[in-house]
Amino acid sequence: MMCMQRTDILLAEDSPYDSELTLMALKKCNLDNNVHTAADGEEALDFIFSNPQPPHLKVILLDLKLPKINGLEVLRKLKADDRTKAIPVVVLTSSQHESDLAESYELGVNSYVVKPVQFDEFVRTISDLGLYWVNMNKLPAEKIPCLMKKN
Amino acid sequence: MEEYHSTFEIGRDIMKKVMNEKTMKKQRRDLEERMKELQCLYSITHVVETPGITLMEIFRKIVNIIPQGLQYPEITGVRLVVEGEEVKTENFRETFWKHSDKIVLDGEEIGTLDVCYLEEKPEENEGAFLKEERELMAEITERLGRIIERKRAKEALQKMNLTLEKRVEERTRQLEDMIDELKSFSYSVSHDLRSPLRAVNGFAQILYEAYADKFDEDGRHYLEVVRDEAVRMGQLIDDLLVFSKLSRQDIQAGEISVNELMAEVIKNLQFSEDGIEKIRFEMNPNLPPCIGDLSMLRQVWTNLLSNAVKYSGCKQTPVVEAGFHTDDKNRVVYFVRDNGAGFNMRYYDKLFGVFQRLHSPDDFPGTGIGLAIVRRIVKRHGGRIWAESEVGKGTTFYFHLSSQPPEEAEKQITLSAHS
Repeated sequence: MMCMQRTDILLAEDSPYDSELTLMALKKCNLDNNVHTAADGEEALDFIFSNPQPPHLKVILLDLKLPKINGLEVLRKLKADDRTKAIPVVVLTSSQHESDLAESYELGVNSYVVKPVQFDEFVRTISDLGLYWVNMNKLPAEKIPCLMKKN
Repeated sequence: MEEYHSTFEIGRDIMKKVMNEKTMKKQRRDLEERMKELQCLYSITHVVETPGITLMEIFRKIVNIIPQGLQYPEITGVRLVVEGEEVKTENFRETFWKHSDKIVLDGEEIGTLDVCYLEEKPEENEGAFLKEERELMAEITERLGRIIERKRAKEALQKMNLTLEKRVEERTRQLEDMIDELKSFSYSVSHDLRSPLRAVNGFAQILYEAYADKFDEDGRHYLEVVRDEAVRMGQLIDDLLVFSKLSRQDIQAGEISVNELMAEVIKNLQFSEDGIEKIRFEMNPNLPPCIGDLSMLRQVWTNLLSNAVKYSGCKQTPVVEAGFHTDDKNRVVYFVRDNGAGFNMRYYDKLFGVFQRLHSPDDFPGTGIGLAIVRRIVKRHGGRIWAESEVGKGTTFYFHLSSQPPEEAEKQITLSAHS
């Protein structure tokens, strides 16, 4: 089992520009160090499930319109698996569709945020999200076999 | 005791009695025959009025009813031919003792009714068929003509209705398809356009922040334009989406306390409108309640009040009033009045246009969709909105909702929600 560098945030976003802007916004509040980006649903699920012990993430920022496997499917799989259902998932999307909202909450999403178009609003939103989920929110204790081994 | 003068007289009396008996018997028999004929005609009428019965079924029943109206039903055969189609009783056979009548529709002969006695009748009569029987058959034939005419008219009507129904179905399906297309179009706008817009917006801003000092004045100006117009484009798209959603949303009608709604709107405006602290609000505390969709009407009051606040900010003592009066048709007309910049009534017809503005964005920001949204909502509630203004003095917006009395208004609203 590989001992991975700690990742706090998984950003699942297909647009490279939205990705870049998000990372820039996270950088402004010093949260850009432990971020892993996935460009489609398959990559996102691979990152989480390829190892028997899923990474202990502080939050997953999930876009809905992802190629290969879409955001709702990823959400469904995350919340259906005992190992990952406790990881906070924040849907970060352009869609304001009532149906997307309804289904996301049906599947157990922790929060649903619409990406602002205006840049300053966008920066504010991302940093608020980052600071809240990474610093303020508390998660149950993790069991990290490789760290324990180190000790 | 009568006096008889001779055997002749006795004989004559006896003869009279016998003759009377015979006549009575005949008369009774005739009466029975008439009853049978009437019964026959009645049965025919009854058959014709059976709901859903077809013409062929009518014919089949009639040919079996007719013998019952004649003297010797067991040896009567009936055949009906209408436009080449033949319907007959099982026992029908062309014989010497035949009576035929033509069936006429619109002056044209379309068929015949043949009645045949299958064997010689047991009694001596005038010809094979009695006069009464011939009259009965003539009556039946005439009725058949009319029956056929009516039935055919009915069937033509039903066919037309079916074609019409099919066309309505098709048209409805086309409209539903169009609505679905529009829905997915607006989804596409909201989703797909916003992403590149966000990028243009974001990177223009980042470029400006990071490299403005490396640009000369012209370069900085160009960057500012790109950034500002990207911002404006975002607002326009958002506004368009709100506007287009309005037509497709279902109205959820309920009774609304206008006073409460206004108080809520004003409280919210404190956060979004600059300079609102300066404004003196004069709200009539007794605004009558109305019937309508709460979120839509909230939008109406928000837009009207925020406009009033915005356009009166330039004055020293800005005042925004809200109230109502009853018009000559007993309708409640609400109004919002400000003492601000006002507009030139010459351009009144542009007032409610989409993205139409009567002021420069430098003086008063806005995309020009607020009033278009208000008007659409008021219209969907069956009402009307209009305005009066004078440049430099101020503006008053008047509107009323459904012109039906409140009990009817709800029905009206639900109906128009699907128009």
